[in-house]
Amino acid sequence: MPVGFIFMRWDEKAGNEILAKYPEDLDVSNRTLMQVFHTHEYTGEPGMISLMVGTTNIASYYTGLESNYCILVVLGLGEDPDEYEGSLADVAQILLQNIEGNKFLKLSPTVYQHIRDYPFFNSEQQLIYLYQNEIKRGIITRLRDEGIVSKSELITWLKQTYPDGFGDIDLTLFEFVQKDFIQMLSVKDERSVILFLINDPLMFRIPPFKILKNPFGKGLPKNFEATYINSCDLFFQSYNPSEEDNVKVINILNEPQTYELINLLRDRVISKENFEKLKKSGIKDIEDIISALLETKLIISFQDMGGIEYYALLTDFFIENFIPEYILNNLNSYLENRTKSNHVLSKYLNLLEEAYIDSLITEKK
Amino acid sequence: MAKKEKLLKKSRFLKNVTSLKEAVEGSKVSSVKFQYPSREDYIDRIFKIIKEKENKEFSRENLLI
Repeated sequence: MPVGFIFMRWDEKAGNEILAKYPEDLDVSNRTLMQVFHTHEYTGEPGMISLMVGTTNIASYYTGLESNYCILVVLGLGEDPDEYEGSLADVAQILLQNIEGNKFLKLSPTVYQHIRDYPFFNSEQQLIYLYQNEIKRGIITRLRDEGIVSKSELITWLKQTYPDGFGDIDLTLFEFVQKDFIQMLSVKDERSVILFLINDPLMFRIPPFKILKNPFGKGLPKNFEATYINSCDLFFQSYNPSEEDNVKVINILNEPQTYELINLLRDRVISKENFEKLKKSGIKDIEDIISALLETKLIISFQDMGGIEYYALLTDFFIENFIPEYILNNLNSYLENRTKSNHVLSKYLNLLEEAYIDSLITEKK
Repeated sequence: MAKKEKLLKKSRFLKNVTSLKEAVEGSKVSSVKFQYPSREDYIDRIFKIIKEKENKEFSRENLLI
């Protein structure tokens, strides 16, 4: 578990300036901080470095020469710094967006919690986390429409579309590139780097198959079985996947404790009494979580004659990466109308072909 | 592995990519005739497959057939 983090800025005259620390008594010597900055300065590039200074295990993310900020995380001795890379780029982005009026100061506990939890996210949670960010959703939506966009064009568009929320483009794109959603490449005769959509996160609700196969066996009293199955059927008769609904679900599942509960409910029906036990085992705000899940129609509740309440999944959620096959329509029209260069089209076709073959070969390995 | 190779051979997507590449290089045609389902239709299709199979696990192979 990380010991804590320091958010700091390098100033040519004043040296390193600590802007926030969590916990506040976290002790890292000035010499170590200097060493971290100098290591970043050596590359000059935004990104993460890891280093051991004496017995201090450090992962540090640098925002680049232009802004000169750094998030330094002190890790436990045996921890692998690479596991923190994805979260640090995001945390840096959040802190930078809250520089004005020192708003970032209030965020320290949440930031620490996120840094701590992120390495334990499974692939589904990582996708959920990525997609809950409005600006990142905007980028994906734009790429779904076009497949290809130049980095300079994207920056201009983001500044216009999200005047208050958009920060550093490299930090914003970091996880997309890491997780193979987007490839960013220089292409012959193009002035700006080109972004290509390689994977598209598809998502929608699905019936809770495991529970539906045998609700009684999964803990639902026999007398509620028919109503439960009917309720699920009824929901899916009128359900149409939509971005609005996906965002609602994503925002709820993005909370680690809520996700943990949904994972439990994927396997069994849980009574109120069992929820109380979960409270004792560390899941807080259980009432709030339940009411949010009921409101979003992710769960349904039943009350028996004795007043015992049971909670079962009404809908489950599916989120996966897919090769955007539909984008070939765009490529065909770019080709017909000559709106993109042949170098760009050729590069994109090669990337899609490689990704498609990889996805088939690695599937079910 | 042989099964995978078969799948790759019958992939409409890969065939269309190859045709588009040829068109881009100008070696054969100047455009390719095909129409893919829109993203929304694609989602509907996967959603239906998942529902029919009553399984959250989804295989890309399902889309090839």
